[in-house]
Amino acid sequence: MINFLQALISGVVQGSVYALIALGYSVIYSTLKMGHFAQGEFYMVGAFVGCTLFTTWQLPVVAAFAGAALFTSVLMLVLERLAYRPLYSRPAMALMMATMGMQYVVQEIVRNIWGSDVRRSDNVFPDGSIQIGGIVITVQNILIFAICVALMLGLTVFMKRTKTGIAMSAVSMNRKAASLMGVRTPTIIMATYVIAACLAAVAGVMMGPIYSVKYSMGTTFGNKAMTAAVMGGFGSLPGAMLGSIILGVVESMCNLYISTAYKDVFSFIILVVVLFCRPRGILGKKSITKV
Amino acid sequence: MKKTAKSTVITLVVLIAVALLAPVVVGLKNNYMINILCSYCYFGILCCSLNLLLGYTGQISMGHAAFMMIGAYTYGILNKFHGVHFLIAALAALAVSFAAGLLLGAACCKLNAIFLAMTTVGFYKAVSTVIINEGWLTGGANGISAIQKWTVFGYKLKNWQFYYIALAVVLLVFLFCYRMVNSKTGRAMRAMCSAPIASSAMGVNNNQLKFLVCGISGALAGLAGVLYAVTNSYLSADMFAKVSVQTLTMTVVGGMGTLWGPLFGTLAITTLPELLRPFADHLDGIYGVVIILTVIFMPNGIYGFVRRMVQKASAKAKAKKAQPANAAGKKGE
Repeated sequence: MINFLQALISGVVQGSVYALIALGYSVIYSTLKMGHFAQGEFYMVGAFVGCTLFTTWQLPVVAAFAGAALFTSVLMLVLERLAYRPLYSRPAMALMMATMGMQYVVQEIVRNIWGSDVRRSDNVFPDGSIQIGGIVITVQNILIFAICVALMLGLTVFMKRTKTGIAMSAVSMNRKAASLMGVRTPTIIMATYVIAACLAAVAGVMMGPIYSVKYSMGTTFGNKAMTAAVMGGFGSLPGAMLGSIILGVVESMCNLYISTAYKDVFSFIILVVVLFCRPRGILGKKSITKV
Repeated sequence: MKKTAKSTVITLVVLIAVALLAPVVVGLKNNYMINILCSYCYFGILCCSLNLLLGYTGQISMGHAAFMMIGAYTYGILNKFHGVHFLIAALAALAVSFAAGLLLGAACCKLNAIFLAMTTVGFYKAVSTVIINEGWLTGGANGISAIQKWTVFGYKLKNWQFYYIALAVVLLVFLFCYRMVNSKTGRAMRAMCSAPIASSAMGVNNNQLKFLVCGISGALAGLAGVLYAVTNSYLSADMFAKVSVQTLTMTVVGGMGTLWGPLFGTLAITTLPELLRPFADHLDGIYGVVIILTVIFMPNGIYGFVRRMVQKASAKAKAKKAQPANAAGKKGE
């Protein structure tokens, strides 16, 4: 029982980190109706910047988070301007392919700056743990979970309450009508990408000390987060969170009861089962297409 | 059947002639170059199979290497571990990858776009995990080594002879795609790709069609896997890590939704690493840049770009021809 609870907690924490990246996917999908395959790479960039600022330069934690978010935002801005913007008026497939290519471009940039060696990052959170009836919860886990939840809530409020958030949903509903209403569509789309990149960077800084930091870490993690976002219903923010938590828990349960090697297979099976029953994800809305 | 255009025939004849002469030019004993020529063959087949899904049906498969892996491993296991004759092993590989394609098709015929893309990524992950962990069946992380070359009536085929066989297989696959695309099924596929709702209103069963195309595409990728296994005579799960992306690059860069596109793409992208030897470390980045530049500047790929250039040039030539005639006509008045 204690094993089960322990696995449940680590699954939820892992899932909440997936959720940060998955939220990025969902925000982009809800505005642009397309995926962004390079999202995982921005998580990796975040991890690298965080590692450099915190471990090598010994700056305070807050500076590491801020620096990582800033650096990825600037990188995203430049790449978006160069590679994505010419494609907004083209068929969706073109932009999707461009984001696939972007994955490799970002990896290449990181490899040129930081090299292809594996790095170790110091723990960004204080050590220590709390014991409740035999279950050990580390401070790190509590803080990670708290930050993730705070960011999720913040994002939800941002999407519902602020002008930019409302403009985003306007763009997602009808891009042409939104631009006629005075919404600057390219700027809004750019903001979407930057928000997604920032979320991924924060996740990267937090996960850097747990996994080793290397240039290929983004693809695996990004794919998992995308699986979670797809499972929860692409484009729906609560869906992305739910999907991520489910994925995290499934993985850690599979580690505990079945086998560590096969956890990817199980997450694939769960994905197929979920999509077979609900082709648009758990919380995905059924889209009605006008003919 | 619709009449084949003259330019198509000319291009085809030139390509076949070049392909036939290539081994003689690089030297029949030059195994390194012959292997590269063989790699054109299996990537060509792989791209044709992906093109059926991506270009003609509009379904993104990002784990196409999974089918190739299934084909290659079925062949390897049967031929190496159980001593099955190579032809039967190849047919079995075709059947198993067809079945795998149908299985995936059944699981995701309801899905579209990004949902399907993610499922195929997961499928690739699942297949490679199983292959690495089931050592008793697949040789696990060590892979399958020393897969034999083909032997016909006691005569062991040399590498260049195998290349000609691979070339023949490519031509067959190309012919198959050509016939399929121009058939009733092919028209239904294109209709579904451009307007799914309209096509289903006209009586096309979209889900069934996706199911079928997934199966066929899987089978062709499995065939590419067989050629891959024989050419390299060694298999391991991590050899396939980049194949999905490479295939996708080739199909997109060449021009998806056209029969020629994937072939051009294969030629371009397979040659690229050989030309860029000095930059071998940055190859992934170059792939990325090439994909982005292509989608921005050549939306229809190399094939579309070349065709537009040719059309422009011929239009110009026609205009030039017409001009002197006009001028002469005016003088006469």
